[in-house]
Amino acid sequence: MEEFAVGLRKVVKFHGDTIAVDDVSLDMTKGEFFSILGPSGSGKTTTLRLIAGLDRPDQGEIFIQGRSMNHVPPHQRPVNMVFQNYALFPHMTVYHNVAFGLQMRGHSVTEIKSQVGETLELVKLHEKPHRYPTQLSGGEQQRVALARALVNRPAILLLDEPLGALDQQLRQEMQVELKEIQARVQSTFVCVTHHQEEALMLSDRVAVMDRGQILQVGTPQEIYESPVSTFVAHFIGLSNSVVGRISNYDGTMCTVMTPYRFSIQATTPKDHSSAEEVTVIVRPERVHLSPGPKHDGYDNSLPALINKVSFNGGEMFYKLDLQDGLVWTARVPMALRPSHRFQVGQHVYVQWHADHGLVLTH
Amino acid sequence: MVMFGISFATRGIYGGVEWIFSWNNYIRLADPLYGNIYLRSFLFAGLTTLMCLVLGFPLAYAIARAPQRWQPLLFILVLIPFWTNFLVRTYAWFFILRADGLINSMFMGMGVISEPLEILYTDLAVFIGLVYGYLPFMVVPLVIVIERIPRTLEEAAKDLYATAWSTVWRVILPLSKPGIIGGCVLVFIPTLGAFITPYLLGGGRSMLLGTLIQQEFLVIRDWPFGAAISFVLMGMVLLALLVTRKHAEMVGPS
Repeated sequence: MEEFAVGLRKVVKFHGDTIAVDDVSLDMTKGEFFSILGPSGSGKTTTLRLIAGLDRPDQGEIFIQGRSMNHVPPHQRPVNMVFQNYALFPHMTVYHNVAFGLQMRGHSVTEIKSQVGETLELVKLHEKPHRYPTQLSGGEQQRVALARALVNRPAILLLDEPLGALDQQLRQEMQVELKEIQARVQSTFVCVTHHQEEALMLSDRVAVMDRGQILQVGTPQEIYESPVSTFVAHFIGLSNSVVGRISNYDGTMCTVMTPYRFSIQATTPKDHSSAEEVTVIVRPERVHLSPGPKHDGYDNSLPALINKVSFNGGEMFYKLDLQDGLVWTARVPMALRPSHRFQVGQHVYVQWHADHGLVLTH
Repeated sequence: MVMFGISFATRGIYGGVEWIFSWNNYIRLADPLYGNIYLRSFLFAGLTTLMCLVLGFPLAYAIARAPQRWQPLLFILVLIPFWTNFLVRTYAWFFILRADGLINSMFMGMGVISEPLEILYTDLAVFIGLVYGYLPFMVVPLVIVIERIPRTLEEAAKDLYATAWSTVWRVILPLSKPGIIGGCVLVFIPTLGAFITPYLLGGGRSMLLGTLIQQEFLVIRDWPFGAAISFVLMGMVLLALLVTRKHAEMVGPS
C-alpha cells in the first residue's frame, strides 16, 4: 500500500436506492495527476467526496498514504478539495479565504501571512488580496479556490470539475497553468471532470467511469488508442463506428461483414469466434480521403459523399455520408496539400489501414 | 398627524383634548419616572431580542438544514401559535406559570422546591411571554437566509479543518447577518411597544412603555400625554432602524 497516495478497495456507495459508486477499486500513485472522467451521474463526484471524507462508503475501504480512512473525519485527512463552483466564502477577502485553513489549524499570524502571500503568488493573485470573491472574474475565483486548498500543502489535492465554469480560452490557459502548479507543488492531484479533452490534456492517468463503475484505467494515450468498449471509445474523442459480424479471422486480421454493402478489414489482438458481433471504431484523424478508388496501400476503401465541411483553424472536418444513414467524420490537417481538400457534394473514397480499425465486442 | 397635533395639546378636565399648544407633555417626559420606564422597556426589548436570537438561531438552522420533505412540517410547527389568538396564547401561560401551574406542580412533584415559585405577575413572566410571542418573527427571516447559504460552504469549511463550532461562528453566522438584523428589528420594535403581554403576565406591576401608553389613553384618558410618549418612542425606533440600516450596509459588498 505504501507507494500509493490513494487506494480504493471495493468501495460501494448508495444514494437512497440507487447505487452511486459500484464496487470501485483504484490506486493513485504519489505525485501523479489522476483524472476520473465520466458523464454526469456516473458517480465520479461521489468518488471524490468519499476520498475527501465528505461522504462515507457503505462498503469497502479507502486508504490514503497507506492509512485506512474509514474512521477519519475530513478535517483530519491530508486532503484538500477545490469545489465545483469554488465555494469561496463570500464575506471574506481573497486573503482571508486563503488563510482560513491555516487559521483553523492555529498557525501563527506571521506564518499565515508568509504562506498566504507565497501561495497567492503561485496562482498569480498577489496583487488582489483585499478583493472580495464577487469582485473577481471566474478565472480569478478559480485561482482563489486553488490557493485556498494548496496553502495547506495537502498530500492530495482533489478537484471537482475545476475548469467547468470557465470559457473555452480561459479553460485552456488554466489547463496549462494547473499542470505547472502541480509540477511545482508535487502533490497528487485527483481531478473529476466530464470534459474528455481536459482529462487527456492534464492527466498522467485517467479512469473512465460510467454508472458507478470504472470501465478503464490507463494513460490518456492508452485510453484513446485502445479503448476497452464502445462507450469508452465514444466518450473519449470523436469516433466513427459501424457494427458487424466477424466472418473471417486468421489470428491477426479479420474481416467484418456489415449490414451495409461492404465489409471491413481490421487487425485485432484478441481471439474472436466466427459470427461474433462486433463494433469497428475508426478515429476521424485516421481516415484518409481520396478523390478516386485507388487504394495506395490502404486496406479499406469505401465510397462516400461529402455532406458538410467545417474548419476549426488547424483542421478541416468533413462529414461523410457512407450508406443508408451511416455518417462518418474525417479530420484532415490543413498542413496537407490543397489537392486533399474537397467540397460539399463531392464523391470521395474513405480509406484507412486495417490496424487503425479497433474491433470491440461490447 | 392628528396624534402629532394632540401631543402638543392639553388634557381637558374630563379627559377631553383642549387645543391649547404647549410643550408640557414633552417636558413631563423628562421626569426620571418616565425615563426609567423608557430604560426598562429598552432593556426588556433588548433582552427579549437577544433571547429570541439565542433560541431562534439553532432552531432556524435546524429547519433550514432539515431534509426537504420535513421542512414544510417544521415551518408549520413554528407558525402554529399564530393560528390562535394572541390573547389565548398569552392566557395559556397562566396555566403554566401560576402557583398551582404546570411548572410549579412539576418541580414540587419532583421535590425540587417545597414552596411554589412566584413567576406569574413578575418581570420574568413578562420576559417569557415576550420571547415566546415573538420567537417566530426571529426564526422565519433566519430560516430564509440560512437556506440560501450553500451547503458546500460548510463542506469547504470542514475540508479546511474547521470544527462544527467554528464553521457556525466564521461562516454561517456572518452570512446570516441580513436575517439576524431583520429578525432583531422584527422582534425589537413590537416588544418595545408591547402591552398585552406585560399587562396580562405582569399583572399591572410591570410598567413598560406599552402599558404606560395604554394607561394614558384608556385609563387616565390623558390623550395628549399618551401621544407624546408614543412619538418619542417612534422617534427612538426610527433612530434605531437607521442605525441598523447603516450597519447592514457595512456587511461587505453585495
